[in-house]
Formats: sequence, C-alpha cells, structure tokens
Amino acid sequence: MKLVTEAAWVAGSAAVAGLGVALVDVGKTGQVTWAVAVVFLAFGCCLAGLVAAVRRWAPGASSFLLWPTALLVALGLVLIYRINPAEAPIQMWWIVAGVVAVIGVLVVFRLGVERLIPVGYWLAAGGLCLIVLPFLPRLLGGGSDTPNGLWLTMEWGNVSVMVQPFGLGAVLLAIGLAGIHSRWALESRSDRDDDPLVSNRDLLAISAVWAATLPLLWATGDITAWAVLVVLSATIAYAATGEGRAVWTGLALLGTGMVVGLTSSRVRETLEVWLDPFSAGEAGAGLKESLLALGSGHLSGSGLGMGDPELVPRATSDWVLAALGEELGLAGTVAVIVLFGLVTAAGVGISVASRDLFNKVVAAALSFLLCLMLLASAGSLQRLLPPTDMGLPFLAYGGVPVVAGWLAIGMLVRIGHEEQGHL
Amino acid sequence: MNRPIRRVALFLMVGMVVLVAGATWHQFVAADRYRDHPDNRRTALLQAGKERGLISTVGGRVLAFSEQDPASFRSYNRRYPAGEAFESVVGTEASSGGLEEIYADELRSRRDLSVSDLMAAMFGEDLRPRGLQITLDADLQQRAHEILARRRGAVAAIRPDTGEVLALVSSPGIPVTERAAGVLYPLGSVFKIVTAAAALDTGTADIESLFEDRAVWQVPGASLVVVNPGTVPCGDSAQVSLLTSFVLSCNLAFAELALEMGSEIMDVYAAAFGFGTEMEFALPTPAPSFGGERSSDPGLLASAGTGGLALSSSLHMASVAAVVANGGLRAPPYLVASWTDADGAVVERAEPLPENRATTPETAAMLARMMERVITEGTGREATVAGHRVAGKTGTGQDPDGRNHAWFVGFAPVDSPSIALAVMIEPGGEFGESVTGGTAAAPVASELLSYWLQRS
Repeated sequence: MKLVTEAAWVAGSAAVAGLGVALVDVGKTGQVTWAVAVVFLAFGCCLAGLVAAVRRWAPGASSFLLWPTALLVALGLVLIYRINPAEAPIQMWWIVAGVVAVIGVLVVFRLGVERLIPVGYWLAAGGLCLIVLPFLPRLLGGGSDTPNGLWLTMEWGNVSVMVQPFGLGAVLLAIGLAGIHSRWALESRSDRDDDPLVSNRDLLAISAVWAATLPLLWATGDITAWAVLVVLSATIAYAATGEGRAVWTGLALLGTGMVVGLTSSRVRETLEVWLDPFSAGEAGAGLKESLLALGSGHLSGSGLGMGDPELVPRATSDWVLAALGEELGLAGTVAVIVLFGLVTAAGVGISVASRDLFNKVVAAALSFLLCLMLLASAGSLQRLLPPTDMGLPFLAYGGVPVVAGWLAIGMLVRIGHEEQGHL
Repeated sequence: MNRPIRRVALFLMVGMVVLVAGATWHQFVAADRYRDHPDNRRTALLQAGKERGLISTVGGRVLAFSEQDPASFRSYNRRYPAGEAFESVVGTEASSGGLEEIYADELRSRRDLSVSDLMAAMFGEDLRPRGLQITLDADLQQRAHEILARRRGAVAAIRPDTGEVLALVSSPGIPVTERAAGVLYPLGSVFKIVTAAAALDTGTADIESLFEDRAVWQVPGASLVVVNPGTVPCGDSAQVSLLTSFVLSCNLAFAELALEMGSEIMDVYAAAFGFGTEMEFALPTPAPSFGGERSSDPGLLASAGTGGLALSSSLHMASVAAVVANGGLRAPPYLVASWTDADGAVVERAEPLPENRATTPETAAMLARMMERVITEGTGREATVAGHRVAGKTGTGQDPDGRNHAWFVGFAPVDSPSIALAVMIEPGGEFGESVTGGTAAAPVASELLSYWLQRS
C-alpha cells in the first residue's frame, strides 16, 4: 500500500514538472517540445531514487516532508525553464545534486546525527565564513565597487560564475548553533537548576552571530538577509533553552544593528528603495518590476509562458516569486506559501516529536530557517520587508538554493527516522 | 521543552498569514494600480502584437486583418490590403481617430489563454475577435480617393433613403478623418437649401416669389450690408424670383427671407436638417452650426440666411442633400453596418437611427426642381453628367482669413436618387487660391457621379 502511494506521489510530482514545462512550451510557441519528456523522466528518476534511498536508510521517516518539497522544486524548475531555458538543464543537474546530498546525509548519519554535536563550533564558524565570503574582498578594500549584494562573483580567466553562498552558510550555521546550544542546555541540565552563567553563554552566542554578520549588513545593505540570521540564532537559543531572554536579546540586537547599519550608505540606499521603489531609479528596478509583475498577474496569472517575467531583472534567482506571481497569479503565490507552510509544519512536527534534545533543536532550527527564508523573500517582494536578493530555497536558480534546501530536508528526514514512533 | 518551539512556529505561521494577506493586496486589491502603472511595459507589449478582428465592407472588400507573425507565436501583424484610400476611415493600429482606434476594444481578441479564458471557453464563449463590417462602397471610395488625390478636400457620399455612407474621403488622408467628418468648414451658399426649405415649407414664399434685385442691401436696423456675389444685381430686371436667386446663388432674397421668418423658424429648420447637434456617428463629428442660432441681431440673421456664417462637414452636408433626395425625410448617416463573429456570420446588425421629417414631400420636390436647375442653367453646370439628371447646389464659404472653400452638394438621378454627396475643396493645389463651388467642387462631383451612375 505504501509502495503504491509513494509511486503515485513520484509520478504525480514528475507530472507536475512535465505539465508545467508543457504549458510553458504551449504558451511560448504553441507546440510541445521534447523537453517535457526529459523533465518528466529526469524528475521522476530523481524522486524515485530519493524515495528508494529513504526506504533503505530511513524507513521510519514519514515521507510527508518530501512531497511539498518535490512540488516546490518542480515549480522552480518550470519557472526557470520559462524565464531562461538555458538555465533549466543546469538546474536539473542541481536537483540531482540535491537528491544526492539527501542520500549522502542519510548514509553518513545512518548511525545518528548526534556526531555533529562536537563539531557545532566548526559548523557555525564555517557557515558564517560562507556567508561573509562575498563581501570579504570589499571589506578589505579590494573587489569591485559595484554593489552585488549577497552574490560572489568568481572568475577563472574568462569564465565567470556567480554564487550566493548565503543559503548554504545559513544551513550550516543553523545546525552548528543547534549543536552548541543543545550541548550547553544538556550541561546545565546535569548541573541541576538554572545556572545564570549558562544562559549568558547562550546570549553571548547570539551576540557573536550578530557581531560576525554586522559587516554583512554594513557592506551589502541587505537588512532582511541579515535579520534572518539574527532571528535564526535567537530562536535556536530560545528553542534549546526555553529562555525568553534569548528572544529579547535577539530583538535588542536587531534594533542596535539597525542603528549601527544606518551609518552605512548601502543600508540607507536599501531603505530608500524600500520606501519608494518607483522613484529609486536603477537601484529600485528589481523591486519595481517585481511589483508590476505581481499586479499584472492578478488572481489567476497570465498563464505559463504568456506573461513578461523577462522584464524583471535576475528573475530566475532574486525575484523568482515575481515571475511566479505574474504567470500563475495569486493562486500560484498562495500555493508556494502553503507548500512552505507544509514543509515547516512537517519539520516542526518532527522536532516536537523528538526526545533527543539535539535532534529536537536541529529539526526546529532547519524548519525555522526554511520558513524565515520564505518570509524574507516573499515579504521583501511584497514590500513588507526591505528588498533582499537572498535566493529562495528550492525555487531559485542555482546550486546553493537547491542543494542547501535539500540538505536541510535530508537532516529532517534522518531525524524523523530516528525519532519514529515517539509522536 | 516543546513550548518554545511551538511558540516560534506560531509566530512563523502568523508571518505566513501576513504573507498571504500581502499577496492578496498586491495581486488582487491593488493589482490594477500596478497593471495600469505607466512604468508597466506589459500594456504596450500586449497591445502591439495582439490579434484583432477583420474590418471589411458589406460588399466583402477586406480593409484590415491580422496575420500571424511567422517569427513569433502569439504575435500578429496588422495588414491593410485595401490601400490608403481607406486609411482616412479605418486608420491604423498606431494612428488615432480611425475605426481601428475607436473600436479598439470591440475588435480585440479576448483570447489570452489565461485560466479565466479557459473557463469562459468551457462555457462555450467565443473569445476570438469580432469582425466589423462597414457600409462603404469599396469601388466608389477608391474612385473618390483617386479623384481627390491631387487636391486638398473631402468627399462624402451616402445612400439617401437609408443613410448608409458609401464614400468618405479626406485628402490628404492623415490625420484620419480630418476633413470629411471631423472638422467643420465654412459653408457658404449651400446653406440656402435650408433657408429655401424653411421658406417654402412655411409658405413664406414660393419658387416664383419676387424679390427686389439689387447689388447691395442695407439690412434694416443693423449695420450689416448684404452683398451679392460680384457686387452686381442678380438679373437685368428690377425684380428677381426665388428660383433664379437660388439657381444663380444670389444672396439678397435669402437674407430677406431669413429676416422675415425670424430666428425661431430658422432654428427649427436648421435643426431639422441636422444643424446644432452632434451627429451620432462612428467617427467623431462636431456639431455643425448655421451661425444664426437664437439670434435677435437682424444683421446676423440675414447673413446666416445666405449661409455666410454656416460651418459644417462634408458628411453632414451629404445628409442635407439626402433630405431633398429622400422626399424630405432625413435618414441619419451611418458607417457601421454589422458585427460578425470570427467565422464571418453576422451577430449584431447596427440599429438604424430613427428618421426625422425635415420638410414636406412637396417642399422637397420643389427643392429638387430648383437644384436640378442649378445644374442645367445655374452655378453648377460643371456638375453635369451626360445622360443623367443631376440636382445640386454650389457654395463658396470664406474662413476668417478670407480664404475660399468650394462646396458642391447634390444627388442623382433626380427621379429616383441612389446617391447624395457633398464635395469640399480647399484653396490651393491645381485650382489656386480662389476656388469656388462651381469651378472647383462641381467638377469633382461630376466625375464621381458619372462613375456611380454608369456603374449602376
């Protein structure tokens, strides 16, 4: 019975990807191309491999987490095929890499994820390094003058590659912080009673993340992406300790950081674009065009392949939700929010059902992160938050959004397997 | 231990609800503000390549159609196979004032393959663009365009009993409809048809009524002096009949008649012939005026009676000729005959506007006789068509700069009229600056009428 259900899910998700590509084809050219079959088969094989790996190495895990993720990835692939067909095969390979990453997580941690606890510091430090990587040259006085947000441009000869390591860094940071805070929490528990010093350590960790990422705010002006990191570190500490002080500390640090950030011209520029994208010129073009795309989409959208998402700059990465909103309308936007909601709910469910503290905190941290990134990305598109160029996991073009997203899913699946039956 | 996690999750859920609300705001409540924003390039992109309906004549001549762009799916190119003779009426996608612009919404395809489209299609709605059929006679329009090609002016021709517009030409044709319908020109003596109609209809005069024949007449109680053309009397004797005054286009009789009838009667008859109100017509047409509306100034009224203050368009004046041709009944001109579905089947026929009686049939018959005499022995000899009976009236209107505008209005054949027309020629071109109705407009009418009468 389970096999039938899973086969149906694999076929269904692959069909969504194939159908999306077919609609794009029809919308653009009136004819269906061979890409439909390729996407259907490739996506179907990926998912089948994923399901088989989960059955083999994490049979106890509920596969519920996989399906909203698969649909989000399928949607992202269709949108990328729509906006820039040349990027679609590359994205397909990144999806394969993401699935391999999940399988890798399941195999490497087949004896449990707790072996990550001792390397928590290293993971957090590594994550922070990845995050600050793109603007390190700029901070040190070198690098290009053109603001390029969270993007790192790497050049070898005449080959130029743009990477946004933020997503991967954030996943590593989340796992690392979960390890650090849960270890401290366990230590304090063995000491009995609440040792104030222990809590202060947690607050110090939040402050450390804040201090380490403040240069990111200063150099990129990306208030929203920076805030995601501060909120993430505060909520992880809160989840591990249950100390309300963690939340208040996070909020205080957010406020202080904003005051400090206002001394940066980049931050002020971001705020100007945020307050009035229509008269901010070139700097506001992304947000402006995205809003126009959203409004043009209306309730049901222009239909795949029949809008003009090409008008939005960097539509496959920074503003992928604008293309979605234009061609699939409010219905598509709400569907993505709901799918992210399901992923978050499933992740939080795994966390809540976990008995092991580290498992619990890691699952919570990764669920929070995925949700926070959606809130940041969609919120900035709707001008609820200052604009950010942070790539949305699963949907945005590139290796990091896809692989980092799948890594988080892999961790959650593994923990779900470990903690089976504790619900 | 789970409480903090649940609290954060709750907080995140609230955030998602806010996102859904924000999306609803941007994509539904305030969506139109973005869609119609001047910076939104989609509006222009959407209009440019969209399929539009067929425009054709009732006779089947294709005037405009959309052809799929071979290079790009979903994109169409607009073609105008009938050439520039029709441009003054049809216009182009890019120009304003023509049918293409005025009926842009009606001609547009409602197919954009969106979800709402699919729904509509499921309920059997036809989203393909509708076709527009207009009354123009393609050959006559072409001929009129060729005749006018070397001149500056306008021609309008209508079927007197129905009001169908057979030809509507402006030369030069751009901007669209500048001359034939959309702008008023000084009318001159052709307005005497209306003054004569009022006088005959009210019994103020008959065609044999005599008037003192002078070169100049000081209007009593006014500073204005009415002058005959050329500042000479009309004939050789002391008195001249209404008929002769009409045929030779003398002014004094009509100035006296207008004064005698008064502005109330003049207003009633001018209105019955369509002066003073904007025509209900497919193309924009300003309201023609005769210049003496509600006037208590005798000088003004006398001058208006001769047509000296009247302003009108060729289209409207063709309809004035049509009243005489149609026994006193005025059938308002119309251009849009019907709308068809994409397969060419008529789905909506234009409702003809109600006719109104401008004069009695007897008055119309008398006017027709007078107008025929204009051709046979008066100012309109140049409008003669060999072997056919033509009726008409010439006029030469002066604009405020003193430049002449030559007019001819008329109809044929007199016993069973099949066409009523108005020709207006501006100064300049082959006729020079001093155009008159008889020398510049009447020959054009003759060419056009002989083409029409020989064809039918």
